[in-house]
Amino acid sequence: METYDYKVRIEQFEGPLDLLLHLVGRARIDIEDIFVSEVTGQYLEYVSEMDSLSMESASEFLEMAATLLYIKSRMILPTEETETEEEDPEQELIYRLKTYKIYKEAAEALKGFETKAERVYFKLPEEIGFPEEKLMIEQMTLEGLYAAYMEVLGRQPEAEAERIEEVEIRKDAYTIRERSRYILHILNQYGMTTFGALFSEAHTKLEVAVTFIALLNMMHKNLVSIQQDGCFDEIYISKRTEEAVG
Amino acid sequence: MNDDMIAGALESILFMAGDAVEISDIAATLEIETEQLESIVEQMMEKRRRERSGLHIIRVDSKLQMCTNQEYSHYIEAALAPVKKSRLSQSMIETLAIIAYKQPVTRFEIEQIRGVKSSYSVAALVEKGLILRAGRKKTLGNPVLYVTSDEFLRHFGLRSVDELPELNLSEA
Repeated sequence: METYDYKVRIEQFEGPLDLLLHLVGRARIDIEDIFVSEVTGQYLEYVSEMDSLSMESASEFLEMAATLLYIKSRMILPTEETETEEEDPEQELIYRLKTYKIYKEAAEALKGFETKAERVYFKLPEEIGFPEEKLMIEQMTLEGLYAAYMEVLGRQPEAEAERIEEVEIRKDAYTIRERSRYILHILNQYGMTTFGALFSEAHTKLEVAVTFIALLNMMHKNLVSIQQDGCFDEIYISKRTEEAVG
Repeated sequence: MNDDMIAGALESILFMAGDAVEISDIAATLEIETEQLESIVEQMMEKRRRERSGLHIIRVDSKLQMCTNQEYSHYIEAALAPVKKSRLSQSMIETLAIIAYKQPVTRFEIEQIRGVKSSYSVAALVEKGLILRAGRKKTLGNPVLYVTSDEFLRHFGLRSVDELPELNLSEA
């Protein structure tokens, strides 16, 4: 048998058990006799020729090869009285092969049912069209509907307000650069300002926030100095002069 | 309502549904006992077989469904060219066989028997609607349990899983 032949054929098997069953069948032996036959040797030969398989299936074939080698080594070594202690790997493998064979045969039987049943056709499930539901408004006057509508509207003021606010805050309406210039402008004009005054003209939260960030930024750059005499006292903001720096 | 009328009503319901319909639901609708309906259904099935009718009624577990007579499949195929049903791959049918006989069963238990990873097959069978997830096993990791579906019964022309042939356990 050629090497190429092995590669092509091993992929046709559903796994190591399938391959072993195939070899048992070809050797015309009972599953029980697998370890006194050439089947395990043949299996190892197949697996040694295997290199084009995916890692996942390869590992399954290799794991079985390791089991077979282990069983072989046990047969060569003198037997100790461990039989009762641990699971007998030979009997376990024979059991697995038999179990697999049972379900493989069951699968073959299913194929027969499948072939027969594929000649039966079914209609696709119908989407039953129920009569359209009509909305009936009973015991309700036009005035009542109008009142109900107004009540719904009345429940929305918060949402409405938020939406208006969102419209007002246009993208980049306030930038740190522009707010910094504004603060500098005030300081240049008056020399000093208070924290409260700086925000007194702010219209929106965004304006406050951006102005505040601009102020922090200017402090960071040592452009302004902040002074507060005590807790909750007015905060004074003044422009740092060159002399004051450092 | 006499038996003929019950049969007629049942036919019209099954024709309109297309899908499988619970026997007990139909019985309740017709205001008769389920047992009475079942015996009428058996007579209908027999009559349709005898008359070589083009439409048969089959049982899918506790449901009834209308289908075509397989005798005429090649005429349907010639006239309408319906989408050919695809057969399952070897790995899918092996996986399905294990699920069918051992249900409810976890993927690990399937892999123990097959000796190979079966996640692809299981996912493909779920995708095809042949198996369903049926809760989780109360064991380490709470693995998903799988059972066969009505579609499984239809795909293999079985009335219920009880109709699966006995496993050949003689060698085990």
